[in-house]
Amino acid sequence: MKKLRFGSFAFDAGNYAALALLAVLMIFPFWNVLVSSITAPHLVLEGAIRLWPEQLTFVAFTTIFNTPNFVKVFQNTVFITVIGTFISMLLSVLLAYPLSKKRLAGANAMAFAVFFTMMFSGGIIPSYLLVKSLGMMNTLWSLMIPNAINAFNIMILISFFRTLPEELEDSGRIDGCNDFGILFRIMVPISMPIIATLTLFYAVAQWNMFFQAVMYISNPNNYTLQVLLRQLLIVLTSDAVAASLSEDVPRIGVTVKLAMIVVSTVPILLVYPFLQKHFAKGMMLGSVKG
Amino acid sequence: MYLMALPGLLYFAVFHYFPMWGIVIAFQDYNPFDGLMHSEWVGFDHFTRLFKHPDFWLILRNTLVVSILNIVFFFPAPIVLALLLNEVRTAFFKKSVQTVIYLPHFVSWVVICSLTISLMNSEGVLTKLVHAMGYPQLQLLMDKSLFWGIITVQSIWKDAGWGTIIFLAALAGISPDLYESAKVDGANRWQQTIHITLPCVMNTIIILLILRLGQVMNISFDQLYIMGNPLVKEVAEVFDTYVYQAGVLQGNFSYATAVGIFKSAVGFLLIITANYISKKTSEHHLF
Repeated sequence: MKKLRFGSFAFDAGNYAALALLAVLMIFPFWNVLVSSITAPHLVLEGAIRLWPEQLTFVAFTTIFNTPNFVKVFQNTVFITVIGTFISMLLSVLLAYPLSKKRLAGANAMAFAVFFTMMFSGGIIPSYLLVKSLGMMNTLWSLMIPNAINAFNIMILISFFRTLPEELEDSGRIDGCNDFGILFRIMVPISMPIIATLTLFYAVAQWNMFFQAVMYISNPNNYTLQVLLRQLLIVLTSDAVAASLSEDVPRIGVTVKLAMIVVSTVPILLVYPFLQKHFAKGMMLGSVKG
Repeated sequence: MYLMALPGLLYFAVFHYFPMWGIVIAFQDYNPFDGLMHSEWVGFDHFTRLFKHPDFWLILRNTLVVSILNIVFFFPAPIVLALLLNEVRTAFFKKSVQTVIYLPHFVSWVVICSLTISLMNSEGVLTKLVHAMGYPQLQLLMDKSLFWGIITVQSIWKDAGWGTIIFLAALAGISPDLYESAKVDGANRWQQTIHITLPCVMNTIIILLILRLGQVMNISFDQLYIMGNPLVKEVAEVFDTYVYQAGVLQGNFSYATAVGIFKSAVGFLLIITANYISKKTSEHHLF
């Protein structure tokens, strides 16, 4: 018995240590980038791992913010995230609610039509030509409209709406609400966990969008942060450019890249804690039903 | 009610079903000036060209290798992680670890690739470390033999933590009575895990594995496109990056559409097969 207890204790110790190490492995790269981005560039170039900033400087951040189209790019990214997420959520809720009503004629067929798009698609090129012929090339709409609804999220919403008691709908109708009133005044408020979760999913997808931005946007004024970061990455990984930054120009290229990583990561991570309260619950619902 | 669904249905009609019709251009010599209606029909020419092209076998191999590495190494990671987390009794510790390991999921591929590149370029910390340990190569990112490994590790780092959610939900659903009776029978924690926990989540594991098998053709464009460079092209090119290259950049719309159709069709078959298998082997299926 005593031996057993010891085995169990040893496992616990090992388990806690392993999980803690893993957590460190997940968080440390971010910490290192954050710290290095506010450290003097010449120290960063020496390439040591550091835990705290040395010779604190915000020169990398001021450089970024003074770059001519950075502010525009930042605004673009916020715009497609906020407006895009709003459009996505609105369309998703409006579509999923009627489809969740089994009594509605054709609801199942429509749900299948949505589901089918998860299994088969026309591919990249037909979508590209469509966006082109709609005149959306090089506009921010091309980053919000073609991907407005995620079929998987519709499936999650439908199965969630189906768990809500029908009496709610009846009581709304007695109070004189129409279908839109019932949806927005009764159903949406009690579906907050799932709505918060899907909002987070859509927002993260919008903020991190890369493929579509690469495909549809060629005008630097309509770039998003991810594309700009990738551009920096190409420029600054070529050693020739690093060398061409002459001695008297401070070699800030390396920290500019790090600061850019911070700027394109931190805003979306800030959303996470706000929604986390709902989200743990919503994710469980989604994963169990979906 | 129908009015409510209209915008959403319209969206699916325009952005999903209309492009499906657009696949006819794979059987034409599509020319933007002549449009869909007036381009010359060429039958299966683009497909024969594709199958004869040496690139095709490279792309297919790369896609399959990356997917198989994913299934072998990435797929089990969240399961193991969830089992370990499940053994943690300290609620605060468990919650903190969860919060931290979910984090990388919210970060874009561009950022993750940037982190990788700054770790592994010629001045990166990791490069210096392996060099000190005797690995001769200084350009780790241009080393073809390392590429698939790097891609797999990146995927695990990004999403293994996130993947635990669904397993933790399944683990939370196991009745505590089962553990109580096992304890009475004298089972230790390892035996409890083997004989109670694993069988209880087996269904979830099988379903997710089957779903994963249906996704073999889909590999993240973002990740492969950013990590790829001319020196590793031979191992980095997959269907989506190839379609982008041939279609959007070079303007071979018909040929690129044919490549896309091949990918979609195989993907469709895989999902149907996967669903069929799961119907046969368990009561769970998608449709």
